[in-house]
Amino acid sequence: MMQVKTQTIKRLNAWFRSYNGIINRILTQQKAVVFGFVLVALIIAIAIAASVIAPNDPLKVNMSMRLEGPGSLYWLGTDNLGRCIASRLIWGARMSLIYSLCILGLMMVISIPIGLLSGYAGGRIDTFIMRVIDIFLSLPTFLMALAIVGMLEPGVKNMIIAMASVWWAPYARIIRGMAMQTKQQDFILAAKAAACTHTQIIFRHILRNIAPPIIVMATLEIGSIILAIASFSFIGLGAQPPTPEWGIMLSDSKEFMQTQPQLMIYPGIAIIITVMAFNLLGEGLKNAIQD
Amino acid sequence: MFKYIGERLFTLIPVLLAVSLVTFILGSMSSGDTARTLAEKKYDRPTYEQIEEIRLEMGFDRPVLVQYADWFKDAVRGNLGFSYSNNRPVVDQIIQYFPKTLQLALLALLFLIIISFTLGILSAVFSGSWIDKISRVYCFWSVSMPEFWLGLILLYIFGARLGLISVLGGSSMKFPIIPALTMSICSGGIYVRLIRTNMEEVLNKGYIRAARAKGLSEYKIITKHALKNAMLPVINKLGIGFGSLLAGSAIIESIFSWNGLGNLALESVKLKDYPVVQGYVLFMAVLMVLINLAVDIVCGVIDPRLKNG
Repeated sequence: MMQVKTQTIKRLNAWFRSYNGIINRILTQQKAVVFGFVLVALIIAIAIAASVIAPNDPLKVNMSMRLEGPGSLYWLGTDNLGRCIASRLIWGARMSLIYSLCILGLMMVISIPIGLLSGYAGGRIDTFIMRVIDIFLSLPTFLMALAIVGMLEPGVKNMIIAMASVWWAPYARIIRGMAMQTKQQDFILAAKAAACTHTQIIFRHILRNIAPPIIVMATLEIGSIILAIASFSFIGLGAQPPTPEWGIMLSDSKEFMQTQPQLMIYPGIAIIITVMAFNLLGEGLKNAIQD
Repeated sequence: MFKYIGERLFTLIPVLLAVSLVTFILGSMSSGDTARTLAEKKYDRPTYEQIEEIRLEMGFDRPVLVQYADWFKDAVRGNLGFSYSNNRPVVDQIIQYFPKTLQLALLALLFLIIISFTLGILSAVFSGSWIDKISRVYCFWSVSMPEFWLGLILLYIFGARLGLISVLGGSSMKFPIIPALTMSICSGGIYVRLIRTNMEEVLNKGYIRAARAKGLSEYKIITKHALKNAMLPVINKLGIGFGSLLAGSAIIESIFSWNGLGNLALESVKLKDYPVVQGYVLFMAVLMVLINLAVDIVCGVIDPRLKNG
């Protein structure tokens, strides 16, 4: 028991040491990156604490208070059904983050094993997998996702499946490249000499070594995933009303454009800030790792 | 050269097979009963027998792969099936709606080129100046902004406030200037950045210094020596960008009620009119592969180093 504990601490220390450098480099970089970092932390905090922060129930319809202006009860006013806009925006952050993490996770679940297998095995398996990846890379991916969701049933689950199943290919290719590079290093040879099985080598030695760049890649991608989720919900293929989601709020506001333009301003700004925060952070991480 | 083109065209085959197979299988897996939907259209309140009759007539009772093989045979002959909603051939509909989408994409490409070259070149030449800062902010905003949101905002400004375009649809526009502007503003950031980095790299090269030493005017150095060498990767990217403008116009078309192919596809998705959706995706996939091929050929002609390398 004791031994396990010391080992865990040792490992954590090693991780911390290697990440300390990266975090230091991020923080010493431009202000913009730090800004992105803080913003992302803030957005995640808002998303987690949505149920506490939100002043009202985001789903509660109050027809006597339709299209109210900002006030102390409704911070940003109410929408066409008398729902609290501020609460819907706050819950929207949670929805966007959850959906994008699901898509990202599913994408990684598809692309990591495929990429690792392709890079590690090489030969015919590699050639075959690369052919498949090439096909996926030349598809009009957004359209494919749209068609997939449209043909199944519009909804969050199908949107997540559709997006992950058309967007995994570029990641699998990058992971394959990283796996190929790592495969040729001496410690893999050492692991082989120590009679490690292939699975051990792939998951323990290769995957752990390429984990940081994969995480960076994922962070860089969250921004565009959030944009795609909002687009899908906007055209009615993603999350369904009355879910408090930014894309749905925008599509609801379209009807009231003439009289209530503020309804479409708020969700748009929420999307821009979130996407920008993740983009800033991703850029910073990328630069920190590349140096 | 011809061999190269032939090889590239050959790669179209697996792409088309994959796209068609995926869309076909999804169509047959979908939740609704297509035979019932069709029967409801025909008989209003169909009996069980009538639904089954239509199922037999359309061949929905056969295994998916058999249906696919049948569809494939027709598709090779240029028949992509008939729309469920109005019984017109899918190919006719694509031909009818495509010019509008093409018009939109071409106009967007034009705006894209104007925006990205102006900002990209200026920010590289006057590196660190206010225009460089503006273009940097623009780059960041354009990739963080949802395209449809900018579309809504522009629709509000030009439609609801200024009354220049119709908010509620109807193709009152002769040229899709505002939709094209929306698309180009949103995708411009990437190209501004690309042009800026390329120009900066070239401007630091020895032959630019040589040209300066020779006493050439700065204007000539930039347009004749720097720009030409910085162009190649940009042309390549712009070509691919044109493909995504064509394929990515659906939401913008629907916001501005522009009657193009993308709008048709979105409507068909809502109506579960699978043959049209399938035809649209297939058509766009072919178009994108062909555009990429054309871009590669053009780049090879411009820069012979690529062909040999």
